[in-house]
Amino acid sequence: MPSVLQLVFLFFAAVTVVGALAVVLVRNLFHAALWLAVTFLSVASLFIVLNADFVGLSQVIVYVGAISVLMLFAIMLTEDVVGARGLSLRSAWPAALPVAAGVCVVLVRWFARYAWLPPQPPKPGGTAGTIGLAFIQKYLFAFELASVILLAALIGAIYLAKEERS
Amino acid sequence: MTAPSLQIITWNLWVSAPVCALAASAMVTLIAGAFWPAFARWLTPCLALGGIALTAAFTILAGMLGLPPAGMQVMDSFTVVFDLIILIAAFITVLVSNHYVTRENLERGEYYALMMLSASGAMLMAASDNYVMMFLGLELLSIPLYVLAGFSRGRSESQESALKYLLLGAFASAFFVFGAALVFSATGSTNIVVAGDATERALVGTTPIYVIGLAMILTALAFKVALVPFHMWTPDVYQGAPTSVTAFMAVVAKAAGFGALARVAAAGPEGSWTVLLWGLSAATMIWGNLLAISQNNIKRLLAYSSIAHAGYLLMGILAGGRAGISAVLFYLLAYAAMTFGAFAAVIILAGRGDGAEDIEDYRGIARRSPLLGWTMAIFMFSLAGLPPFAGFFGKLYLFSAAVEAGYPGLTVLAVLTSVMGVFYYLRVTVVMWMQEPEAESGPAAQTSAPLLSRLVLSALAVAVLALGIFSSPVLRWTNSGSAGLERSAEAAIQMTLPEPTNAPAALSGGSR
Amino acid sequence: MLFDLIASFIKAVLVFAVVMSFVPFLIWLERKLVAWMQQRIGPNRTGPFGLLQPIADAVKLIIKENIFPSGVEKITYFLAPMMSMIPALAAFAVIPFGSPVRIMGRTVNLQVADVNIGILYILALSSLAVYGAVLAGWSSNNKYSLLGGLRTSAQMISYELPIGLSVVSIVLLTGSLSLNEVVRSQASHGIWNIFPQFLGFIILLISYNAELNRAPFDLGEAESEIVAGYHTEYSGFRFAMFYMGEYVNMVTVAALVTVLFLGGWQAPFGPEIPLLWFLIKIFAFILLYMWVRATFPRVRYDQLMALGWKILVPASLANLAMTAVIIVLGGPNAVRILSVGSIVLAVLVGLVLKAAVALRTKSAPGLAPPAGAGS
Repeated sequence: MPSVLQLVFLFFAAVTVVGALAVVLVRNLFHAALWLAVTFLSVASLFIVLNADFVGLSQVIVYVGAISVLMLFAIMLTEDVVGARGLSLRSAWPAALPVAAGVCVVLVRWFARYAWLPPQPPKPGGTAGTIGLAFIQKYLFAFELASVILLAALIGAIYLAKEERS
Repeated sequence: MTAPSLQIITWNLWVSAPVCALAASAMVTLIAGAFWPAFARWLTPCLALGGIALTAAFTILAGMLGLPPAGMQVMDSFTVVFDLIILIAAFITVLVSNHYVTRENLERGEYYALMMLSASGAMLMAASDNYVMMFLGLELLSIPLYVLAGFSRGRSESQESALKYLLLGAFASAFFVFGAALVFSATGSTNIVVAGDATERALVGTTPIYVIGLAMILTALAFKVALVPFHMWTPDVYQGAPTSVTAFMAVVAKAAGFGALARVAAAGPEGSWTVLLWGLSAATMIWGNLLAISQNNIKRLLAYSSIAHAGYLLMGILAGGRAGISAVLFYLLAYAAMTFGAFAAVIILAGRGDGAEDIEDYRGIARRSPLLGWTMAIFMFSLAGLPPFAGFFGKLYLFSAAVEAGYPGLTVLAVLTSVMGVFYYLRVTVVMWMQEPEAESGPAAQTSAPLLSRLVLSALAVAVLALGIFSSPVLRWTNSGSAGLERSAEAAIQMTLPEPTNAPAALSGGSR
Repeated sequence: MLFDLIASFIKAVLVFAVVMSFVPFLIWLERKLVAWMQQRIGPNRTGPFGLLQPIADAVKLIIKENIFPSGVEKITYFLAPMMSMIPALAAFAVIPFGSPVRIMGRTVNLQVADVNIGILYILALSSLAVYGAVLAGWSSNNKYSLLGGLRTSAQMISYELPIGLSVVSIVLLTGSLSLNEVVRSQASHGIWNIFPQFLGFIILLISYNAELNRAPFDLGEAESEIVAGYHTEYSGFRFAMFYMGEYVNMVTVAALVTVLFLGGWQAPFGPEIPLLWFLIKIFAFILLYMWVRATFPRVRYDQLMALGWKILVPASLANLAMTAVIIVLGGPNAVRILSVGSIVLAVLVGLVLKAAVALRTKSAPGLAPPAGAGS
């Protein structure tokens, strides 16, 4: 008999899978982006169920609140896409389905056999402090490097999008 | 409010000094280009060159200190040798770019800044002993490259190239992350060597998950270095991107991928890993050379040739050991010199707006410009692997390392495909030297170039020759690099033996 | 366990009821206030002082027919009003509105849920609030709605940055992400956060005004340009939900600003009466927002974006940097040094702004040129 927490986990796991499938299967691009937001949201819930509250809420802020909205924004701005209803990678189905199913079967088979550790009990002060300290101590370089990567992306985006000065 | 302490640096900063120096120089270049656009034309390349030279000095210094691995990076002699190869390549790129960006009106601070950031990502990939750091390096390498590929915004081919590269590159990155996550979940460590060692000693009973993860990482890296069957993007992206960027991509991105592959291979994965590499190498050599034969566009030809060379290089990774990795490093150096040479010649020949990129446009060009004719011939001979040029010795070392490691079949295949390569490389030379120029056929190829371009071209030709003739001291240098790789792999296992997992378990807080 | 469960349930129901019953009163207050400021009388027919007017409006809206205009996407059209109201209500769950009280021998926090990353939770929920406008704008099959949705989404994403950066400064000062801890640290510092974080306070006020889509930043529903923006096609109860969402949001934001900057439930003087001071502070902010709405004309869209990206984001970064440096170097005196430094920095930002505006008006007399239009 699974515990309540396990049931909650299973529910959000199911939502994640359904959402991810819908992202691929839905023909309307706007709906696909919405389903992506649903997927992100349920992944965030999974994190929270596993006591990774900081990661979960960061996931909501960054992925649901910013990235998905920017996608929706871009889709709404793109004139041709708003009207288009027939966007689907139909021709790729016969090749993609067996590969995806194969990978899925292999992974599920091996994951099911593995003796996973049970989720750790929640930290008394939450995970935010631990993560924060890890970012500025042990993983300082990686953390700063991520900001350099974002800076590079920012420079690139501005360069590509900027109007040409005459 | 708790009083926070300033004691946050718990590792030796010198390990990251080279990358930091290059990234900081990139910022300086960017800011200088933004604030003094009037001087951007000469100031930004000069700053870029200075920054690269400074980084090289830092690299050599950091290498001499003999630091232990820290901050998910290793500063061993492999890193030093590899970083210097990358820096030399970046230095040449700046020199080669100068003529091109001036002609195509692309002279901006962003160009050099992005290129330097990309090079620092390449350095990180080879210096990382951790999949997380390797991924960050991969992204830092790739994201500026996506932008650089679309840098000439006016040309739709450039835009197309950038978009293709971005979409497929992001897909490949996703593979890398998924693979790293699987490796972590199977072994409890993101450290490359420790993860491999944990599986070897069967600390955890989930080798298949580790293997799947490793295969996904291999897929991502194979995409970066353009191995068949992950090479589809290469010709289109190489053709559409600005030529100087293509040269950078062909050399630095490829080198970075092989640096990362060498690190992964040093962790000693066996079994299906070698089978995979064997197959990839063989497929890449055959397919790359086959398709190169039918190309008419010089940039596409060089793209397929770069695919073929990736196949040869993979043999060195497969052979492994001191000889194999050393041969890879040597070959990368030789490949950098001859590829940059070929692209530098193409930059001059193509003329404004990259009008003349078909091989047929270059008929009889050698009569008009002996310098271009001679240097191009040297580069093509070297790419084809004819003695006494650098390409020949590079192949020689690679093939002998492969034979010694017990892959004679693959070596025979490599020799056969090399012979195929001679055909299309020589065709370029034949067109340039032996065919009559036709006045009204296609856009005319240019032969005039500024002094700097001619100097760089000549210097690269001399380098190709010198690397061939004086190959043994260079090989000694690369040998020290491959020895360092082995040593740090052993040291990493020694260091973590009492404590099998050094996973950031405290970080995840929940699932392992 | 059972006690906690029941207590949480009761608290949740109470908070919901109180916040929701604020809404009609606030609507009346705003109409009356704006009317006085514009030398009108405002609602005065229904009930004493027109107090029953919002009730009458609510009844009218609820019993109206629910219309699906032709061509709308039914599911998203249906979901949009809820998406604009639920995050605002849910965000209230972590706001502490009083010091813990003892009931039946147990300590009960006056807070629905004491989440130890409450600040992050509020930021997450406010980032979800944008979906209401996006969904409504897109599903309505109306170009004005689409424009309104576009404007709102861009505006809210842009202004989340200065909000987040200002809140991070508070977190630095507190050393915790829990809102309860924020209030307690203000008590222990002996000074409310508004002083050491003066610039952050100003930035947060402006940014939340934009995040609430209220005038002068109500570009997403600017009636003189795009009819009613993203809720053009809505009527009846669904329209009422958008309307309620806006006011609930205002209450939540006022409560959040009170907790972050004004010492939450603490009394500035006199005895600490539960809820009283908290409500007074909340209403002060709400009145401030109404006053701003009645005073300022609507800004242009490019001005809005320029304000967010070119002024508020750099200013909040400067504030964050200053806070971090002073906390590390100032030691026990950090809060006092910050109180001076923050006001100096705010004045500096103001002077720079004034100089920039003067420079711009000098170069182009009359209206300042749009920032986005390249010359």
